[in-house]
Amino acid sequence: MTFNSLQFLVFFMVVTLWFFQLKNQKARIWLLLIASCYFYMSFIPIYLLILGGTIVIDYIAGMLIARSEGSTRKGWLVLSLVANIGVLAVFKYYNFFIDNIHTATGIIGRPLDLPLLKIALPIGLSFHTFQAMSYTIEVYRGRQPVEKNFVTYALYVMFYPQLVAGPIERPQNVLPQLKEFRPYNRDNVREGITRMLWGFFKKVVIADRLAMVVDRTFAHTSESSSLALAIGAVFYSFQIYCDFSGYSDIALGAARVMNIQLMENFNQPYLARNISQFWSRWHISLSGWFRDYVYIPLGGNRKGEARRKLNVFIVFMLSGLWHGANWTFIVWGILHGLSVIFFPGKDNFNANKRLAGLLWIPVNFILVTLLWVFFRSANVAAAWGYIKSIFILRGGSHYIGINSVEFGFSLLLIAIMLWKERVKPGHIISGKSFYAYTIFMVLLCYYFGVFIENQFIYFQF
Amino acid sequence: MKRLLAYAGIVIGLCILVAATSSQITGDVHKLRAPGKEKEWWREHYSAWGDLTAMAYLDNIVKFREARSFTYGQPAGTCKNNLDLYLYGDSYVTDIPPHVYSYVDSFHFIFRYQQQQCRLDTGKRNVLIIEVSERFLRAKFSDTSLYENIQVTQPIAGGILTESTAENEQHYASLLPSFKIADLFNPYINQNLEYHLFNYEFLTAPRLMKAGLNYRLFNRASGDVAISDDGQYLFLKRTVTPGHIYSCYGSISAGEINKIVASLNTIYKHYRDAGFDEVYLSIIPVPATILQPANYNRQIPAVQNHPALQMPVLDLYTVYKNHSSPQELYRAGDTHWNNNGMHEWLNLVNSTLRTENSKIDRR
Repeated sequence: MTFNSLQFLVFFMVVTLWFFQLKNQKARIWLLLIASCYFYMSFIPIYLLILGGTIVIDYIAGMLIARSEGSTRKGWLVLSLVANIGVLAVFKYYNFFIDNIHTATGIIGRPLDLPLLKIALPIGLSFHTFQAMSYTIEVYRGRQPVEKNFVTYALYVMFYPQLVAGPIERPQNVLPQLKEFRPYNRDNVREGITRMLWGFFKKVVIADRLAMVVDRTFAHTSESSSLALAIGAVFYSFQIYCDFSGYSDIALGAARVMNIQLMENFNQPYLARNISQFWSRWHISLSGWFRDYVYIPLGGNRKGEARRKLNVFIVFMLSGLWHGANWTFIVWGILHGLSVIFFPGKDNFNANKRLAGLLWIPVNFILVTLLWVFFRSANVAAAWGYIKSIFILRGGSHYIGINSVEFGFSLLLIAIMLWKERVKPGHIISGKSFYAYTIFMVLLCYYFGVFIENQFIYFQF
Repeated sequence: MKRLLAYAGIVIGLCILVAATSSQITGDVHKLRAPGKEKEWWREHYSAWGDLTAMAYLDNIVKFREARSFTYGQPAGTCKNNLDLYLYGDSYVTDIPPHVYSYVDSFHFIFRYQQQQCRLDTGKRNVLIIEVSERFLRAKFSDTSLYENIQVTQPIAGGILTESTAENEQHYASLLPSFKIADLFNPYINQNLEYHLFNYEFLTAPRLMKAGLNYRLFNRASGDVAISDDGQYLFLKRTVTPGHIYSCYGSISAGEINKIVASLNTIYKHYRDAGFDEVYLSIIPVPATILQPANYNRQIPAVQNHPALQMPVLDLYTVYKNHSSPQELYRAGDTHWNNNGMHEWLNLVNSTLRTENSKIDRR
């Protein structure tokens, strides 16, 4: 069930109305858990068992960690992490690993024929596994009391708005909110709905429209002109932003309607002036996860400059691998890591150099856009070919899959989106404005939405 | 009052979700809403200008308004009707009346979604024509599933014994009476919900407006429909999407062609052994193959001219390719041929039937 489906709209209406009719929190937690199970099972029902299995393991691990000390405590944490990473390794990375062994042994002339698994990747596996791991780590660190109620803990992992594509939450933020009974709040409902509408707009009007250009240019690299390829790459930057941040807006809005405030996942990343700043604005919940659970435990910046650079490199390589079992993601992560290490940029510009600071925004955007090409391409060679074709300034077909009017319209939509998020980032609209905004956005999404059953890009992770 | 409205919302929402999940309930709702229209309940909008015009809601665009107009004459040279013609086919030939076929004493039509048991009359020359739209070529002939459609048995009462609802079942889930957990999560629930929530005549106007807006501003058709490069025709999007199994674009491997040919040979032998005197293959090119051939994958000639193919073919592809006005063979807003295109096929069929009939005379 994707957020941009009719099934979700009906499901959301039923669950939300029901939620507010229940007068105690225990019943609400049960309702949300059952609803979340239905939501997850609508992708591939059987995979609920995998999710359920990791929830049981982490719940028990949390209990055992809380009542142990010293090395035993650490042992339970390690066991829980191994179980979570093991699930990821089997379902997400096993075939990639075996494929590479096949290639490597083929190259050295001693080919191995190891069996591949015929399994589909459970939707959002990396998201809920990381969220579950953050719970056991926080309990281990003593920063989060153990959650004794299994149903509440299960809902923490499975809460449907953020189950399949984040934000990757922390127990300190979500668990207290899940346990507290909060009555119907009109402002929250309005804020949530307007935010959801903004997310739908970004997904169906902008991202899915840009997808037509992106799909065309990435599928016809060899015959497209450099200009067409450059447009395709730039549009992909905005497609993936509107797709993923649109999903986050819907997730945050849906949770907000039920009085739950999830963490922000984006903060105008394309207005960043350097790559480090970009990563503090893009997929914030993942960056924070890697910072708190990988970078800092590795030593962070406390062990000298060389070690800091190595730590940054490791974190970005892992971040690339987190996104997918493909060399394109790993190379993408490594290149981001190298950019952060070697082109850290400046964060603060004084009044005299404000203009210079602004000039770094397009430079950084171009760098990020070129790196996205690796993310989007089928393999590293295709990505490199695409980037090379942009810079050799060759001729070829200028056709980008849409006509000039729609191209102009797409640029206008991007400009509106950037302006709105910069100038009017809030979502609370009171009184008649709320109804006018709602009707306007529904009509806008209907008349200018592109409905081609595109799943959200980040679902695959 | 608010509480009452909330409960009403919950109940109605749940009912709609269950109805969209259950084949039983959705079927019953459809019977109530459109009595007599058992098939394709999920797409109620009808346009006289063509199926693609209807799918894309482009009824208001004049250039795609080509009315359905077919003429069926009496064929020449039908003095001796000694052939029994069995025609397996799809929507291209569904409405063609039996009297247009030459030399045919007894005509049997087997629609592609049906199963039919055939009792051959050994006193006649039995001819089977397997007609298939190009878009179904790969899907249908990568195996021998055709055997389920055309079953040749010992003499029985004759006629259609079973009308399969196989295709409809693909679009329903079966919540009742044999419930399975997986039925709750059928992939067509959004399609069903669209039917329950928005498939009403009064909502056609905004749909036409959206489609018209997209067409006029962006030269795009919505949904499963694409506009030809010259802007004069509508194509089923899947037929021009490289890589799709229905597509005539995108490469098709020699291995896949070999597999199709091998299946066709098996099918040919099967029906010859079952008693048919001859079995013909007739592939109808999709409009893009003829009207926009620049990126054509040439799957029809690859199959038809394959040296290993044993089944004789009615080569409509060559007829269309050599036609003086190929743009006059298809309806602008439809997946099918127009009257000219149909008559080219009928000429080919009747010419073949004449040859078949002459074989009886020589016997």
